[in-house]
Amino acid sequence: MAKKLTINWGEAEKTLEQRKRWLGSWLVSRDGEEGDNFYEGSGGRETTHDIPSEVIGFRLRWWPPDNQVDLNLEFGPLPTLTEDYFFSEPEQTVTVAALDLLR
Amino acid sequence: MGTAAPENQAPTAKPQKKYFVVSADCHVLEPPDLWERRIEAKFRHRLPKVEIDAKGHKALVVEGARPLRIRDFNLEGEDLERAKGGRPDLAARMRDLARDGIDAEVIYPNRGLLMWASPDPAHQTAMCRVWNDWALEFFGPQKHRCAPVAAVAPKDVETAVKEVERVAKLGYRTVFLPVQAQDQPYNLPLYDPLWAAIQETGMPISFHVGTGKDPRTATGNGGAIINYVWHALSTAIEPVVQLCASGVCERFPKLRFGPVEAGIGWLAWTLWVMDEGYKKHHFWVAPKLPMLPSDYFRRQGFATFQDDPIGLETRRWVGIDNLLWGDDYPHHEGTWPRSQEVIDRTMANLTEDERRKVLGLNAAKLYGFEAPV
Repeated sequence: MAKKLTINWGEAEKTLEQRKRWLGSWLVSRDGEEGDNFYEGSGGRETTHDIPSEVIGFRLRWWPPDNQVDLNLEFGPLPTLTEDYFFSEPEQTVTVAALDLLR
Repeated sequence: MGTAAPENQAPTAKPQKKYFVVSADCHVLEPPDLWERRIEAKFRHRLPKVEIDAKGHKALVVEGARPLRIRDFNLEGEDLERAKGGRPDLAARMRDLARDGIDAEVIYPNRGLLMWASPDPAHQTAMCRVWNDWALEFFGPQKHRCAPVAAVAPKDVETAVKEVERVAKLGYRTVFLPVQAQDQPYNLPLYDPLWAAIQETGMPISFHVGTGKDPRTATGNGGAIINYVWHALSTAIEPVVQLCASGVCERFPKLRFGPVEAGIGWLAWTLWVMDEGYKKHHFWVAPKLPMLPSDYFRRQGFATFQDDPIGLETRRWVGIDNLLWGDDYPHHEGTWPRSQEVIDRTMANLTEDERRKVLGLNAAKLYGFEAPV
């Protein structure tokens, strides 16, 4: 199983207000059950996380940038989910670009 | 279109503020990741979300409802200001209140209006608890002016009773129930333990429209208006009739309740036809009650409105003590930031005493705000 996860959260070239806001959570079952969150914050950085033994993958959510008003949603900003990522057996370190997981 | 005046009425000059004003219906945009961060992990993947398909089309996906296409469009001027208002920034909120002459407010969620969308009572309860834990904490520094509502999922009555007791201890002043309780209507006696618990706390019940069932039902020509008038506003009639006609108000005479954000133009008619049905269909009516259904509303009910001159014309049929004004900040159908103009335009025929009551004193009494003597 993978031991470490490195994610490049993208959008480093944009000002902070223009970057997406991300939430990363571990997946603990193929049915989509989630465990703890491992990242909350904006794009524009790269982070590395130790992967807990019970974890089989991860899921990312993103919200529009802080300065973007969701004119089309009366309920305000709602998250968009990326494709779920499941670790494959022999990997020791997984490196992913968050923006590549967008649908 | 602006909020202040219909097209055939020019806005008047900004009047001087002379009343203690409580907005009995406002909203706050919760932190965008509030539920994702705080809800039990097992519910997290079932929260409302946006999905984008291969063609780039966006859809609002809510458990228990059909996906709703999201279309991009641009707003300008005060429409844009309202779209940017209500963010979780307490200092900015206080500035917005001052700008519109509001002294105190009762605050409802925004995204949280979807808390009852899921058909699963456990999921509803989990979402409500997240809001309840956050809202009082967030508004705490302004608790003398800001009264957030406590959201309760009523379907699992035993769990709902425990949550009512919990939020009362936390310091909440009102209980927010969905206006539509699908497949388990509020006239059923199984709710009696919940009514008893709420009555015991002294908190009034607020039935905010647009909750319990997705009001965005109609599509195509006229959809926006059909959804607003029929699938949102008119739903307020149901809990009023359910509580007044079923004996709930007779069994729980200190229970206070009211629809929120539905206007009041429908209310006098509803009270009239409840009594008409009670008298003329007496052979079908059960239970027989010591008072007419409308009398229970006048004793225990209330209703909020924003910009409803027609409803105000009917006030003598309802009772001035039962009417509460609200600005619905920051929503587009509300009156912010031109509330004083709307008040001036719609309440010209009210007496000074009537204005004081509907603008602030009724709400102060109901929700426990300290009004100036």
